[in-house]
This record gives sequence, structure tokens and C-alpha cells, in this order.
Amino acid sequence: MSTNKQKAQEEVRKNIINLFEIDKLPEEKREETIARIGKIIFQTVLVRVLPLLEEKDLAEYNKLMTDGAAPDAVLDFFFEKVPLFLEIVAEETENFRRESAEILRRIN
Amino acid sequence: MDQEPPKDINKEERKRELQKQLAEARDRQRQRDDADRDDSRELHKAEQERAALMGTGNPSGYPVDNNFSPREENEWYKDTPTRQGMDLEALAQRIQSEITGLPEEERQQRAIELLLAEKEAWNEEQGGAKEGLRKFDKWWDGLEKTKGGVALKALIGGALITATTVGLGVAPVSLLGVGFRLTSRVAAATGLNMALTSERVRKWLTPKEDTGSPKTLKEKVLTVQNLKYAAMIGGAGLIFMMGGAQVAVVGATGMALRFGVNQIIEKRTKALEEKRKNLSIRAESLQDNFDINALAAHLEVFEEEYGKLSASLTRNKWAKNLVNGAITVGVGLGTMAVAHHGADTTHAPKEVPDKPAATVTHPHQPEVTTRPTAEPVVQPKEEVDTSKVTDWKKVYPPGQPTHPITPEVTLNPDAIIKPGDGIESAFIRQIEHNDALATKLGWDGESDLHKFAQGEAHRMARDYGYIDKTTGEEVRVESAGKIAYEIRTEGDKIEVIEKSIKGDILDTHEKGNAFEKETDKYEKLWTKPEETANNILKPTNTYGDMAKDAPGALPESADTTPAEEVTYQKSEIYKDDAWRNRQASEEELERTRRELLEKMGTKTEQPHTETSMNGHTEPSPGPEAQVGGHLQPKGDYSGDLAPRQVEALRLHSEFIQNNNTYLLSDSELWETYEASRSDLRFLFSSENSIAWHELDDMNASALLTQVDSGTDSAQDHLVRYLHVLQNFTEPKLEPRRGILGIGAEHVKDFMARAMIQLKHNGNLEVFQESIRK
Repeated sequence: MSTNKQKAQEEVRKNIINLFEIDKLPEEKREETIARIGKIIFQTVLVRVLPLLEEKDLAEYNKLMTDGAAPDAVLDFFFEKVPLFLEIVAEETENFRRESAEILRRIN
Repeated sequence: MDQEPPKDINKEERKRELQKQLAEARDRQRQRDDADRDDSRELHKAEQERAALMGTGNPSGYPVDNNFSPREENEWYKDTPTRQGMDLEALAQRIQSEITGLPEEERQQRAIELLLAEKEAWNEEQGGAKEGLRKFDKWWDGLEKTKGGVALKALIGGALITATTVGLGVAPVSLLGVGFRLTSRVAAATGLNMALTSERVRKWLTPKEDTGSPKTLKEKVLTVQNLKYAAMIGGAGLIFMMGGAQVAVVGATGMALRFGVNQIIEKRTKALEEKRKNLSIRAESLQDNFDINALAAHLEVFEEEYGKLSASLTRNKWAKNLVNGAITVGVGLGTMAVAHHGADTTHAPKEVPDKPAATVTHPHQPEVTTRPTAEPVVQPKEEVDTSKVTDWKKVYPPGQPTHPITPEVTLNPDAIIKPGDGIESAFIRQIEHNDALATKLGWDGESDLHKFAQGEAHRMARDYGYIDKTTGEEVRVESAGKIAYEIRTEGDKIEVIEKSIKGDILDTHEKGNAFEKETDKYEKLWTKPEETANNILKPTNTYGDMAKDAPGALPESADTTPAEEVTYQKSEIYKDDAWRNRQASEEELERTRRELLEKMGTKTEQPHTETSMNGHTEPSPGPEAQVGGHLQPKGDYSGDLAPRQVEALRLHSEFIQNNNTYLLSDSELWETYEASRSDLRFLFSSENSIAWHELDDMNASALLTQVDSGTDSAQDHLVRYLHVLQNFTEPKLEPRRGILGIGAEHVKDFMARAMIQLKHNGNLEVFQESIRK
């Protein structure tokens, strides 16, 4: 395997922390970046699951959001209402990581 | 006269040639990428069109179908729209143009910033959930206004980031080697630890100064702050816990250290505080090589505290969160890390909660001496030497929910290892006596629950680190009546809790745990004796305890010698027809099943040869080969068969290894298998009869040459059956004879091969009718 190819594969394998160099950021920025990435991933998960929720569950979701529910309540809601929610989260997280790695690889 | 060109000219030419090749390769790659993108667009377009035709379309192309409830779980998951990927190349170009000209040190950060912005914009464009996303954004932003909101966001972010590195549910567990797991575990932990150990999170989580002094350990643990956080971990933590303990445990390590160790141990042991400080520094290190062993060592201490608390807390809702949140995870780390890194860490026995001192040594840390700090919560009123109990029904009457000796302790009696039990036996009882658990494990509510329990118990033993998948080595229990292997479920998470008879938690196993090479002190490793040329040709004792009862069997040894090791003489057994016709017990069948699975597992490592009728030895496909439809003895099955059917066929590998030369489909193969079981029930009244299992490994060729003695013996019944079966085959099949008896086809193999041929020729039903007539 060529060195370039090896390097490229290593890049793809990088986890999000390494990928976004979060560990090199100052603390304030670090938290912000982590939260920001989390939000993006959460959004992509919602894009997948919200269209499939039943009407009453959507209403419940809306209420949770409007009422400013605690994060654990929100997560509990999704775990309860969405079968295989974890798999969807994992998939979207992996998509995010893979796409980001690919873009950064192309740039570098 | 031609002159040889100078060497550097050749070099230049070669360089040009290589450059040309590279350029061509890049062009080809680009074309492939373009084609992929075109395919992707086509697919998306088709999906949109289909959605529109179905009336479920929406501007984003994601089908809106608010009716998932009636669907099966997998169907629902399948129906979630697949997101159209971003045009990565275009995006990369955009970012590239933006960062061109920037100083090197700014380029990466700017690129990251742009990338995140692009992704945010991309999400916002997805119309299918626009309203929901808008509300989410508002909710997310609103978190900052709450107490600890920023920390919460970081924590959730860390949790989600963590999910990727372990590949939760993305990569099949089987693909994740131990090395990979360890690497990703540590790397993944970094994300969450970073969030947990950040200054802002620390401030939010640090409890206020206590105004009063708590009186009991329970009060100290059940602080509002702890409960609040445990509840949250119980939610956010689910993300990790349900899919992969490795990340979860490390991720929660910061939690365990800060809230468990901090509040319980730190206050009591000044010395430990100093050591822990060093440890915390390492825990907070953002390097991938931070020391998981040290964390595990500390969690050992934490685990002890947890063990003492668990009995008193089970009925408390908050306590439940606590148990199933950070602490459970923490305990998981202790056991798992010890399993993986045991060679580097020596742990004091954890079985004795009231021991005077536990010394934990670690290569990176001189020595940590801790003293159990908590007053015992549960004190057994009396102790019975359960290893001497012979009538277990008296000790644990059926249906009694709790352990009779220590009523305060919730201990499932089915989980306790009894004389003659393996760990799987305890699993089988628990699954069989708990429909909810069985259902959670995949039981369909209709099939034979006992068989299902046997299958699942074995699978669990393998998946949870009690059987080495490669070598077949097993973890066994030293003595009966002292240890329980309790299956505990919470949400989708299933774990095995090892408890002492007093209810103290000794160890925790989770799915995906590596084989426990370094057993706990109440366990031992057991390796199945290798088959020798001598015993290969003899009937093997696959019936464990039954063999002990059989005429001619060796006397039962005083200790718990595995029954498989007992040898006996077949001729002696056959003297007693009553015994011969006895049905195999459940445990015996389970043992048989396990052996068969082991055989299949080891066969993959060996070269396969078949001996043809004319004596030539030919290579055969071996068990990994695809021989019928897509059914193989190992691997994933995506065909028409239910998991239990796949499991059954794996168990009866004679139907799938070398015999399915007619390439039956999976469902046809299953029908053939079912027909064979039906015939066995017809011949021996049960496919599990000992008579059949004594005959099934016999040399089929030799059996067919025997003269029918006209008796009513099981053997004569089988000989007659095989003759009829053989006569129905077209062309007529002969059993493989092997060389000097080695490699000869066994009865069960020949039977399977012949029945597969009958199925292929469409004669199977006629044959079965004929037999019954």
C-alpha cells in the first residue's frame, strides 16, 4: 500500500476529536465546538426521525421543545418513541465523521 | 554505433511515465467518483418520485409517514429516509478557495469552522423536519439559559461525538477486535471526558458545601446533585450504554471519579486523595494514551461501595437511575479493563467486602491502599453452606422471588450455580422462567422456549466473555451454591452480574467483553480435552450427566469434573434398554449443543478433506463455504430464515457443510431439516433420544451392510430406515467409506445428504409417506 493511501486511510479513521483538533483548542472554544458538533449530529438524527413520528408523538416532541425540557427527558422520549434510535444516532455520527474526514482530507 | 543513453535520461523518462500513469489513475478515480455521485443523485431522484407517487412526498424528498407504530422495529428503522450525502468535492473546493492564502496555522481552524457552518446550513435545508428542527434549535439555544445549560450541551455533544468512535451499531461487533476496541475506547473517552472535566462542567456539577453532615453512606451518595446527574447520565448515557460498553464506561469514568470516588472515598482517605489527584490528572489528559488501568483500579474501590449499596437501593426510583447510570457503567469499566489489562494490574480479591485493606498496585502508580469505608448495609442473618445442599427445591422453592437466606438481597435463585451447573445452565433457567427476558432476547412467544433458552444461553456465554470463541475454552465455576450469574436488563441493555450468595456484586459482564482469560477467584478456566485418534473412533459421550448414570459408566468423581470428560463403553450401555431409551435431559442436550458448536468453531481452522467412494481424498469446501443459498455454518444470515432456524441449522451442520451439494435454498434446506427431525421422532420417539445420539455418529456404510436381525431395537429400526432412504435416492447414493474407517460418513451426515437429494428431486414427501406406511 502506498504511503499516500495509508495516510488517507488513517485520516478517515481519525475520530472527531482528532479530526477537529478539539484537544488543541482553548477550553472555552473546546466546549463550544463539542456542543456545536453535538448539535449538528442531533439535527441530522432529527431530520431522519421526525418525519416518521406519529402525530401525537410529534405533538409531544413539540411540547418538550417548547417547554424547554431537560435533555435527559428529550433523550428518553426518543429512546421510547423511536425504535433503534441508537443505531440511527450511531449512523449519523459516523456519517458526520466520515464526511468531515473526507472533506478535510481533500483540502489537505 | 548506438550509444547507451545516460542514466539520468532514463530516470527522467521513467519519471514522466510515472507522472502520466498517476494522472491517468486520477482521471479514472474522478470518473468513478462522478459516476457514484450520478448514481446517488439518480437514487435520490427515484426515491423522491416514489415518495411523490405514494403521496408521501415532501419538498425535501424525505417521505413523511407518521404511522410507524404498527411496523416492526426493523421495518421502522429501514423506513427512515436515507439522507442524501453532501457533495463533498464541491464543498471541499469551496472551503479550499476560502482558506487559500491564509497562514498555515489558521488554515485548519478556518477550514473546520467553514465545514461546521456548511453542515449546519445543510441540516437547515432539510425540509422534511424543518419545523421540528426550528423548535429544536430554539430548545438548544435555550439550554444556555438554564443552570448548567452550557455544560449540558457540551456533555451531549461529547456523548454524540463518542458514539462515532466505537461504531455503535455501525460496525458489526465481530469485526471489532480487542485492539481496535481498546484504541477506540480510549480515543472515544476523550470526547466525553473533555466535556466532563471541563471547568464549566465541574463548576456546575460540584455539589454545594453540605450544611449538615450526612449520617449514612446512602445519604452521602443520594445527594440531590448526584441524583440529578445520575438521572442525566441515565438518559444521555444510554447512547453509549446501549450500544457499547467500552466507550460508555470510559466516558463515564470522569463521572465516577468525580462523584463516586470524590464523595465517598476522598473524604475518608487523605492518602487516596493524593493518589487520586495524580490519577485524575491522567484521566483528564487529552491524550489517547491516558491510563485506563489506573481508572479501573480506582473503580474497583468504587465497585465495592456500589456492591454494598445495591441491595438497599433497588426499590428507589432515583437509586435505580443511579444504579443503571454512571455507577453501572463505572463497574463495567472496572471489570472490563481488568479483563483486558489484567496482565498489568493485580487486584486484591473483591469478594470480601469487609476485608481490612485492599491493595491495588499499578505500574504507573506506586501503590494505592484503600480501606473499605462504608458501614455494611446488608448483613446476612445466617449463612448456610449451600455447596452441601442436595435438594435445591427446598432451599429455593419455585416462584420464590428472593433469596431465602438473605431476604434483603435481591438474588434470582435461578441465577445461582448449582451442583453440575455451568454458567450457561444458570442463564437457561433465567431465560426460561422469565418470558419478558426471553422476549427481549428474541423469543417469538411460540417456539420451544427451552430450546430458545439453550441457544441464547450459549450465545450469551460466548458474547459476554465466558467462552473463548476461538479456542472453545470456557469459564467454569469452582464450586456450587456460592455464586450467581444474574442476567440483568435495563432498556435494551443486557448484562450479566456476578454476585456472591450474599448479594454482593463481584463482577459485571457486558456484551462484547473479551474472553475472561484471568478468571475471578471463584472461577476456573476449562479447556475441552483434545480428541485423539483413539477416541475419535469411539462414540463420544455427549450426554454428560446421563453417562454417569449409565450402566458401565465410571463412578462420578467427587469434585465437579466436567461430565464430558467421562468415558464409557458403548457395549455396556446397550445392555440396559431402559437407560438407552431414556430422553436426554435439558442440561445434557445443552451440553451436546455446546459441543457441536465448538466442533463447528474449530473445524474452520482445519483443512477439510473428503474421502470419495473410490478412496481418493479431495478437498472439500469446508464449513465457511457457501453451499446453499446464502446459508453457511458461520456468518450473517439475511435470508428467509428466522434466527432460531439459522441457529438450528448451524447446530446440525451436516445440512450445510458438505452435504448441500444440490444448492437448496435456505427455506428448502430448512424443510429438509424439519423432515429429518420428523423422521427421527417417528423412529426414536424423539430426536433427542439417547438411542439416536448413540447411532448418529456411526459409520453409515458399515451400518448399511449389517444384516437386519429382525429385532425391535433402535439400531434395526435405523438400518431399515437407511435402506429405504438409500433406495429412494436417484442416482443411488452410497455412504462415503473413508480410508481404514477414518473419514467414513456418519449416519447423520449420510441421512442429511440423502434427504437433501430427495428434496432436490422432489421425492422427499413420497419417501416420508412410504416410511410411515
